[in-house]
Amino acid sequence: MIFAARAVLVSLAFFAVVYCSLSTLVALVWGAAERLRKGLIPLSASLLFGLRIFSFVLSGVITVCFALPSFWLMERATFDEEGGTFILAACALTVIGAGVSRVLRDQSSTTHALQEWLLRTWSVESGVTKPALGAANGAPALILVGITRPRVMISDAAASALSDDELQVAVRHELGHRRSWDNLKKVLISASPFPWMSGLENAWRVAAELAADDAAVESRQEALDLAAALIKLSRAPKQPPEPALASGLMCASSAVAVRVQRLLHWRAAGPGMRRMWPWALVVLLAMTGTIASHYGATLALTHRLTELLVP
Amino acid sequence: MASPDSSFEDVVLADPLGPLERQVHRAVWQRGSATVREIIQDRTIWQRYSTILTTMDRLFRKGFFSRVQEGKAFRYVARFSPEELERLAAVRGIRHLLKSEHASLHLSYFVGVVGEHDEKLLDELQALVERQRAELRLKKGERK
Repeated sequence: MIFAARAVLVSLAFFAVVYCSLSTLVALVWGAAERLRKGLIPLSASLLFGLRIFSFVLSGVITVCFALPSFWLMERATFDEEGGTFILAACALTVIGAGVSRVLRDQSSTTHALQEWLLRTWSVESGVTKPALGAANGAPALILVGITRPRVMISDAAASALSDDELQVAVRHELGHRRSWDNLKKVLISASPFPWMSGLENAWRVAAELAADDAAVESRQEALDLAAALIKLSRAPKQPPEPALASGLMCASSAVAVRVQRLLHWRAAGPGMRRMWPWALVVLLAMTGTIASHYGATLALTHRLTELLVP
Repeated sequence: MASPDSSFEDVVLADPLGPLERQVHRAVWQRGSATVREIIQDRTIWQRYSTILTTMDRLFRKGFFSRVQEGKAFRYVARFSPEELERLAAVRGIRHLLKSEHASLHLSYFVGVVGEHDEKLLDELQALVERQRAELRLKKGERK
């Protein structure tokens, strides 16, 4: 029992060291990249999201798959942990606790906002596969709500202001967020708190909006419809900001003018760069295979690393 | 006056540039580095040698330039881009407004002006969208 508690304690301490080091590295790399690109080179939403949660996922995987088993298999039964281990484990628990509380707070504020706006449920035809929700009481024009089964919520103001074509392409923008699991990504970002990440998070939000615009539009006509919808909705009386765990058409962090200009210069994208994930999957599988074939050696290495990093 | 080792914000927020200083800063930034003689030879700034010399020395003392000795003269390098200076100058102006006695009044004027600007921009963008839609309709009509 005590040995199991020690294993958890040391693993948490190891997680704290790896997570803080990697997150600091990510923040530094992002800061340097921002200074170099000066906002001029567009970055893909997937890349930015990957960079944002890289430290949390990697430190979690290393801790669960390597640090914990290596302690279990290779550590002596004598109690030799120092005070530093307890402090680091407390840091890890603080990070995890802060993440959980942020998610719960965001979820609660989102639910509260939705209850205020929601009027009734109704189906929107014309290319929309999932039923949409109608809303009023000053709700944002269009937002995607829900984490595991997201649905599009359309305000009565948006439904009356937009033409059928404009509404259809605006809904497809929200479905673009759904295909990218953007609300789930927001949960993961909330769950992995670290200071100095707000710049990266904002950049991801803007890139996610642009990606959803691209996903919604398949012709020049649709690009113009979406641009017209954005202009119409931005003229509407001041709307409340989108809830933390929802994806809106009129995202506060992305400038409408920039998006409209982009849509005005819309060109059909080439087929080459659209699907990068199969390659990422191949690389991931190859890495997993390599590590699995040398699992014993990796555990020994992790154990030595744990002894080095955790006092 | 800011020292040459001061941070970017300290330098720009402490002492904004005058018109000639701005010109000289831009000329040095465009060259990468420059001596007083090189700026004169570029003929983009029509001023006397001593005026340029004094201005470049002042920019160094304010912290906008760094410099190294090259023979009897100095070679100057601009520490910040003109865009960074513009951004900080704007920040300085807004901070100045917000610190004043009538901050909320100034802020309401500012919001009003931004609103007017936004409206104009939206009008222009809407006109562009409508023009492109009309062109597209015309093309479709011609094909039929």
